[in-house]
Amino acid sequence: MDYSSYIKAIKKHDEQAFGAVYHETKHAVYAMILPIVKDRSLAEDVMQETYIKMLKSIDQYQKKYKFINWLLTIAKNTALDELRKRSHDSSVSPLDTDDLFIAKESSIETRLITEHYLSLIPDEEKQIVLLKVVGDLKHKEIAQLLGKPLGTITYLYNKAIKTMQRYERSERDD
Amino acid sequence: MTKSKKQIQRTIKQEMRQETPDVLDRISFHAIMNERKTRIHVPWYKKLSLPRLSTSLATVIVIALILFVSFADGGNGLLPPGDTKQPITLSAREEIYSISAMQSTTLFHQLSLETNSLFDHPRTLNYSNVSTNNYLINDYLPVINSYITMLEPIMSGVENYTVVVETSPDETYTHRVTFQTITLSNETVDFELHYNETQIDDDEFLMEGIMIIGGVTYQLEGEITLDDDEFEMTLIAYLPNQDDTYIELEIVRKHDEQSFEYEYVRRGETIFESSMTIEYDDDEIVAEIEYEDQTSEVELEIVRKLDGPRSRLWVYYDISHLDADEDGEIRIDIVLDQSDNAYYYLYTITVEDDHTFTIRKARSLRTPLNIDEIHTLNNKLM
Repeated sequence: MDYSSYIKAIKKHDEQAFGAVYHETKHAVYAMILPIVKDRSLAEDVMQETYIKMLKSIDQYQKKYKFINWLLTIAKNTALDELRKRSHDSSVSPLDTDDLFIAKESSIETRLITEHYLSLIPDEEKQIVLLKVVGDLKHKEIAQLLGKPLGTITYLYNKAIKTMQRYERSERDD
Repeated sequence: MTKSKKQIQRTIKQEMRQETPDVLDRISFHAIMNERKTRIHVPWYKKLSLPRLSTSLATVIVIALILFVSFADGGNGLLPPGDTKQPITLSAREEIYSISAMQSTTLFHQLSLETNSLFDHPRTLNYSNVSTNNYLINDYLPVINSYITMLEPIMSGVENYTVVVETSPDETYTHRVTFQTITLSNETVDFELHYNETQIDDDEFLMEGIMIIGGVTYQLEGEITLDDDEFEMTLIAYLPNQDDTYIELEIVRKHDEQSFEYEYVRRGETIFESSMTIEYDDDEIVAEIEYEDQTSEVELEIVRKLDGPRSRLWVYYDISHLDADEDGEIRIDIVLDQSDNAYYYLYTITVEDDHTFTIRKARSLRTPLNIDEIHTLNNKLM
């Protein structure tokens, strides 16, 4: 998607343009936030906060940077801020790390399979897989966002997929 | 059957996308935008009360720093955050013509040399069978080999590319561009492009010419639109008197990224379409290709890694053909066959079920070497 015309329209208070950008980017934003905060309802709040920050700082966005990277950096920083706040605030209850899913229209079986796939891999690989598969980001974009070399991202992504495939094979052999 | 990489990706994508919450209704768009509008923005430099002389001096220093950074990275402008290396920045038109001509004719040339069985007799079996080595990858190796041949000069690195522009000695054409690239086996490969250019608008040009590669002359017709450091280039390469069989290449450069789209047409019929992006980072170059023909979709990730004195290519592939899926990885070594002094690609293929086999493929880009050069390169690769 070419965001430049939508950004111009948003600056002119075009709510439909904002809606279009939101729907195009929400999966990538969620994929960025969820592995950091590990809690669905908290991820929802951070998502809301991300888009509010995006609107408030839309004048500071510079065309030479890719818009999606700029937005996902806001999402990452907002998620990390929230995490830091929670670790300092002893009155807040610990994050429920199992609550990543709610029952929706999808079958219980695919939900459990997906949950298990993601539980097989460390957080670092989980984030890369979600950004690539759910957020549709390219390896280079992920490398820039996470501040890691491109080769590392490619390696970790392929490693994660292989882990899931090994699980599949062992299930089949059983 | 074990789930392929693509099936796993699909499962995760479908499930997680359903889980994405919708918070749009919780965002008061107009309230936020109105608040942004009424807040008076005071630039930081106005908040400081500096004497006039110090302000001027600070301004000069800032401008000097910006200019220094702009030229320090080769004149390509400020790097976006997180970028460690620039892609090939095709700014001059002759560079764009050269790269697009090289890519399209090399790919076309190699496809012509490879067996056409894939395109003439598409596989009807819809499964891959380990007992007969009837893997899907066997059908697509000619296509992969064609891309590898095309990409090898690019994979050898940006710095190994030199362009010379001069008047063409051929009276039919105005310009000649000769350029030399270096392959992963340190061979030089020469390309020669002759062309005429017509300006049809401020930023729009037509190009027509010929490219000579491997002793074969290809006709070229192209169109380019430029806008600052962004451009769109379309080029068609075909053999003289066979204009119903051609490669059409479209290169688009926007937001510091370049994408390449190909369409291969044979006897008037589209055989395949593909798109490619190339990413650079330190010692790694990664080309991602999505290919589609009448019965299959193929995803390729071609990675060039430096491994000590050797250069290797890795290909991660994912093929969907009718109801069958197959994925795997390929290690490509460049080996010298001393019987004919030619370099070949040695493909070591590991399919998803861990079955491994090797295949040797010819490279069409080679120039004859003298005996000393052969010994030097042989020692380097063995």
